[in-house]
This record gives sequence, structure tokens and C-alpha cells, in this order.
Amino acid sequence: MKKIADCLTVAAFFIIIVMFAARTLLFGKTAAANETENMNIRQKTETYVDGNFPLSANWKSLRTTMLVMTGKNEFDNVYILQKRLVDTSCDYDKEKFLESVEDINKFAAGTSAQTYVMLVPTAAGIYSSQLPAYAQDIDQRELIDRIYYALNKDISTIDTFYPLYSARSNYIYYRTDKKWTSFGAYYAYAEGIKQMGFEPVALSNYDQEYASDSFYGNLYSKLCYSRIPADRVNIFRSKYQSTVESVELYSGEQMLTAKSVYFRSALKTSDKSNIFLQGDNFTKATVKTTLEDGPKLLLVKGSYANTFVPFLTPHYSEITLVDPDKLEEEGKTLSDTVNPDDYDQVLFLYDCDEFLETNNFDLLK
Amino acid sequence: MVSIEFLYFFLPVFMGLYAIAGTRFRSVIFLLGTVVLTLWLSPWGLVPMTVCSVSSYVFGRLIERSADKKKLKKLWLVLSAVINVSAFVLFFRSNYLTADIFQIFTGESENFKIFAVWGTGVFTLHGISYCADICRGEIDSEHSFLLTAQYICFFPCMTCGPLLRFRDVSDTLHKPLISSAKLAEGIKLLLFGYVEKLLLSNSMYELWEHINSVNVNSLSAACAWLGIIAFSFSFYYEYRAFSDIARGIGLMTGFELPENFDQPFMSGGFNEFIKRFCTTLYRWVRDYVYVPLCRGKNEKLSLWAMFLSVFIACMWFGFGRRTLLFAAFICFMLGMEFILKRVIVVIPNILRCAFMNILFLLGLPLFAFPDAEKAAGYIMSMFGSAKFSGDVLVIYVIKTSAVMLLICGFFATNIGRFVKKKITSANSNIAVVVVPLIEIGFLLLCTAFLVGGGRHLTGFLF
Repeated sequence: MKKIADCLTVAAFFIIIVMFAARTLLFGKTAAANETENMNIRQKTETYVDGNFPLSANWKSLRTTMLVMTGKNEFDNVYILQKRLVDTSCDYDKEKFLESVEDINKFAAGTSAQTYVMLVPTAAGIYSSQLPAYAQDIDQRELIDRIYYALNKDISTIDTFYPLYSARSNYIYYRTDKKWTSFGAYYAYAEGIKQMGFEPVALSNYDQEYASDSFYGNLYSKLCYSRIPADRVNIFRSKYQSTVESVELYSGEQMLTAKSVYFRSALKTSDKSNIFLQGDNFTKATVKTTLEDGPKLLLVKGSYANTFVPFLTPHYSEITLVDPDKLEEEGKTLSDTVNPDDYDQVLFLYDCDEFLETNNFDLLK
Repeated sequence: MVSIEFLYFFLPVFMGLYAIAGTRFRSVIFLLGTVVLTLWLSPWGLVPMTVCSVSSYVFGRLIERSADKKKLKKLWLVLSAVINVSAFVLFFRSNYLTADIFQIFTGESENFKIFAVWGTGVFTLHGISYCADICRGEIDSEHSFLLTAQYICFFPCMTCGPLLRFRDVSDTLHKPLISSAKLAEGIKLLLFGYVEKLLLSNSMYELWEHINSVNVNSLSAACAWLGIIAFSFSFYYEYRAFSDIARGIGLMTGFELPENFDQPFMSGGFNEFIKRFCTTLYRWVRDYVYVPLCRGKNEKLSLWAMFLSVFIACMWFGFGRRTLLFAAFICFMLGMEFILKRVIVVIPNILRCAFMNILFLLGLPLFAFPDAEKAAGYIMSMFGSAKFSGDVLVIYVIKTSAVMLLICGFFATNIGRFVKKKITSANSNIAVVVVPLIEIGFLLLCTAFLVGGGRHLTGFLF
């Protein structure tokens, strides 16, 4: 009897292993050559196996479910709160953010345009009371205050913590991604735009369009925890004529023109939130509107800015977005792409985490 | 050895070739496996391995040939020991905070280091043990270089043992046989080792990191205790996991390897503890350091020999300068135990065991922290030095980790062993169905953790 059990064990073990190994080897796709350029054989193999091992989402899901059953609710700084994933990882370095602040101060002093800074808390900041103690190194409200305090007096700072915090019971952040939703952006806009000298467009002037109801963001793909429902990607459609005339995206040598700030082709990809100006894939973007006598805005963007831009289009004749990360990749500085003095206003729009990670504001010259 | 590549690609190919090869060529396949794994980790690793294998083989033969010339024999033995020890010093490093032997003496790391080689802690000790045993006339030297090399660089044991004796494996080396019973038992051990590493050790390591990241001054006593318990479990299960994996692969290839851990947390004193924690290392140090040194039966000398043995054993774990402090702590405890042995005998076993564990956990911060000051701070906080009220962290820790802590405790005590026995001796008709199912479940679980946990492996042995 024991012999049968032994044979069964051995057979089952090797059959399963060989099946998965064969599936990985025979039906796998090799990664693009430029991605694996600087890797040795070991790293290449690992990327290949990671990319091609069958059922990888199911394995992740199994692991997460097992660990959640033992009471664990944190995975690599991502916390599972009832129906939401919250990323608390953040790389806080006092020296670094003071340097960034210094760079912004220098930039503002050197330009004739009025400079605004808008720091947005992430879900970890707004829902911090639901997170366990010690989950975060920093209090985002305090951090924003500290940064705002260190900025020069002639730079206007825009508070977004309070409006977002008051709206926290609404759907202001994606459940499965780090980004904010259009609602979150709207609440921040409704308060912030007043400081920039405009009356906000009322919520009743918009129709809600649900572009997708099956968006799983990058926090989800880390855990694949099936209890978290999919996200909706919604866009605010003006009930009246849209003011957007043309959109130009520049990336390296390439330029892409469009008639709208929404790029529906992104809905077919995995990151559906890229519907807003194609995500973080451009160095410079110019949005021109029908308001010919409106002021011009230069927006130095973090990834939260894309969702925010649609709300700005009723106020400006031209909005130019510049991504310092991409400038760094291309080895350019700001003056290679735009002249800040051509603009009436300059807005820095970042979320707390990205602001702390950024160290390339010195390219703004 | 804990990776998808090893489990899903290396193992089936290796086992397939090994099974086909027939007993004569199995050692060739085995060595090929060693070469492939070493190349996978770092190509230069082959150099010290080859040097140690060749020198052990040559000196083994020489020692045997000069069996009746005592001085010449000694010279060969010393030469082989020098080669192995220098290989150990040059290439051994546990990657944990890049601590190495030089750091112990100079306080600086990365100074003299050439590069770390996988398995240096094992093949050098194998080499010394092989030559010393021949010198003592306990074994005959092996005529085939392939078999000697296979023993010296026995890849399943390379990560952290168990350390082998040539006389225990020489029969199997000559005639490795695989059977369905051994294969099944081996798979069981292998998968159990994977589960220990991926589930238990890693969760405990994360818990330790979590508690460790809290400032010592605001750490409550309860949390400090939970943290150091997590550290000890994580350490224990990591070493036990790799020993079990080694035994598993050993059994699959026909070798019966000794058990390395004998429920150390159930021992009733430090003397017993060091015997039961990493058993094979204890035996190695006893036979090749302690016994030769205190041959004169001089009590003073044997005390020094014991201290030296403890230091060497602690150094083998490769944690840098802090191991000295920890070794001193263990020596102190052994000394105390020796002095108080009349009193200790009277105490019931269960109390002795509890005392031992408490004292061990109190000393463990010396091992867990790189500098003594931090360790002292942590020990203070274990006595409740932090001044604050309302302990949110401990509630959170208990809520999230109690199950894992209990599972770890369960397998570290005799309860786990008892249940395992009950299951294996259960009605054999049920076992036919249940055992393979459990194994498949384990395999799926391991795969889920390997694929889902990402490449980021935490622990001491990476």
C-alpha cells in the first residue's frame, strides 16, 4: 500500500513540474532585446520565467489569499483596507525634498509668470486613520505644510488636503491603483482654481461617462487579491461644447496630435487610467483651446496631473505640460522645450510620494 | 536553491539524467549538477571548489601512502588544512549585511574579500574532515577523484549543511540507488523545506523587520519579546529549511543524510541546545577542534578548547563581529551551567527548558544587531525600559502574525513531530490517497509563494 502511495506522489510531483516547465519553455515569448540588453544570462532567464510562467496571476492570488487568512494585511507596504489597496511606501529624505524646494524657489525667482505649487496627498494620507499605527513614516498633512512653509512667499500654494479629506467618503482614489480618480481631481480643482483666479465649473455642468468598469491598477497586479473589486474609470463630460481644440504630445523626436485629451486606445491596454493624455509617456504636451484670449499655463507635472488637465481646459487658452522625469531621460532641460516667460502662470502639480522621489527639478532652467 | 528555476527546470532535468545514467555515471551527472548550480550563482566559484577537491584528493592519497611515517603524515594533513582554511577565510561570506571573517578582526568589511562563493562553509569543512579521518585511519582514501569531488562538493548541502562524514556516505557514493520509497520521502522533505523557508521563515523575518524598524525607545516589552521570538524562528526555520531541502534532494538521489536539527528549543540547557542546533556542525567542531585540543585531559585546557570551539561554531554562521559577543554569551552560559550543575539537576525538565529559552532570547539580540549598543538597547526594552502607555503595535502584531507564530511554535516543539507521526502511521488505505494529495498541495503552495512572492527573497542565507 505504501508503495502505491509513494509511486503516486512521485508521479504527481514530476508530472506537474514537467507540465509547467514545458508550458513555460515551449509557449513563452522572449522579452524585447532592448529590455534585456544589459543583463547576464541569469537575469535574462529570470525575466523570461517571470514573464512566461503559466497562471502567474492565480499563483499571486493564492498566495495573497493564504496569507490574508493568517491575518496578514500588509504586503510590501501595500495595505489591504476593507475594499481598497493603499500603498504606504515612500522614500522620505529631508535633504532631498529641501533641495527640490530650493530648485522651485530658484525657478520661481527667475520667471515673470506667477508660480503655484499644488501637492496632493495620496490615499495613504487621506485614509491614514484606517491604517495601523507605525504603517507610515510621515504624516502627509504635516509634510505638505512643511514643504509649503519652505517655499518662497511669492509662490502661491494650493491646499488640496482639506477638500480631499472632506470628500473622503466619495470615490476619489482608485481602489487598485495609486492614482486619484476624476472625482478626486475635481474636488481638488474646485477649491484650487479659485486661488488661481477662476470660478470653478459646477459639478452639475458635467455628465459622468464611465469609460471602463474593469480597471485593475498596478497595486492590484502586485497582489491579485480577488476580494478587491475592479475600478471604474470615469471622465467628466461637459454638458456644453468642449473647449479643447487640439492636443499635441511630444516624446523624443515624435509628435502625436489629437482632438481630445482622452485617448481611448488606452482602454484596450492594461493601464486604463492612461486614457488621460496617454499617461506619463510624453515629455511635453500642448493642449490648445478655443478660448483665444484666455491666459496660458505651464504645468510641471507628476503623474497626478493628467487626470487634472480636463478641468483646466475651460479656463486657459493653452496648457503646456512638461514632465521633468522625461526631460531627464532625454538629457534636456526646460529651456530646450519651452520658455517659461511665455506663460502667465506656472503650476507644479505632484502627489506627495512622487514629490519626495523626484530629484530633477534642477532641470527647470 | 529556493527558486522557480531550481524546482521547475533544474530538478526535473537533473533527476531525469540521474535516473537514466545508471549507477556508474551517476557521480558524473551529480558533479555536472554541482557545476551548473555554481556557474548559475557565480562563475568564479568553481576555482576554490576545484582547488579544495583536488587538494583533498591528493592529500588524502598522500596521507594514506605515508601512513607509517607519522611526521610526514602530519605535514600533509596540516597542508590540506591550511588550504581549506584559507579558502574558507577568503571566500566565505554570508551575504547578511556583508559580514565576513575579516570584519571580525579588523572591523572593516570588503577589505580583503575576493568574492563570496556559494558553499564555502561546507566544502572546506568536508575537505578537512576527509583528510583528518584518513590521517586517523578511520577511513581509507578514495581512489576515484570523481567520487572524492562529489563528496567534497555535495551540492544539496552547500547552502548550510548538514555537514557530511565520508564514512557515512561512501557506500552510497559507490552505488547510488534510487527507489520509489526514497524518492517519495525525498520529495516530501524537499517540499517541506520549501514551505518552511517560504512561509514560516519569511513571514517571521518580515515580522522581525517590522518590529526592528520601530525606535527602541518606544518599543514595549511585549513587542520586544515578540520581535526576538520572530527573529529566532526566522533564523531557525531558514537553516532548518535548507537542511531539509538538502536531505530531500539527498534522498531523491539515494543518499541518506543526517538530520541537522533536533528540536533545539525543547532542550533543557545550553549544553544540550548547542548539541541539538545544527547537530552536524556540533559534531564536526567536537571531532576536529575540541577533541584534538584537549587530548591531555587537562581541565583548564579543555575549558579553553571549549571556548574556541564555540567561537568557531558561531563564526561559521558568518555574521561578522557580533558573533564574538554572542559566542561569549554562550560560553558564559555554558560556564554557569557547569558551575551550577548540581542545582540544575533538581529542577524539573520543563522549567529548565523554559529558563533556557528565556535566557537564550535575552542573549539573542547580541546576534541580531550589528553593534552592541543597539543590542543592549533592545535588551533593555525587553525589560520594559520604554516609557509610554497604550500599546497599539503589539495588538497589531498579534492580530496579523499570531497564526504564523503559533504554526512556527507548533513545528518547533514536539507537538509537530507527534502529529506527523500520527498522520504517517494512520490507516494505510487512507494514506494512499491523502499523502499524494498533501504533497500536491504543498507543491502548489510553494509555487504560489515562489511565483507570487516575487524575486525579492529575504533572509539570512542570501
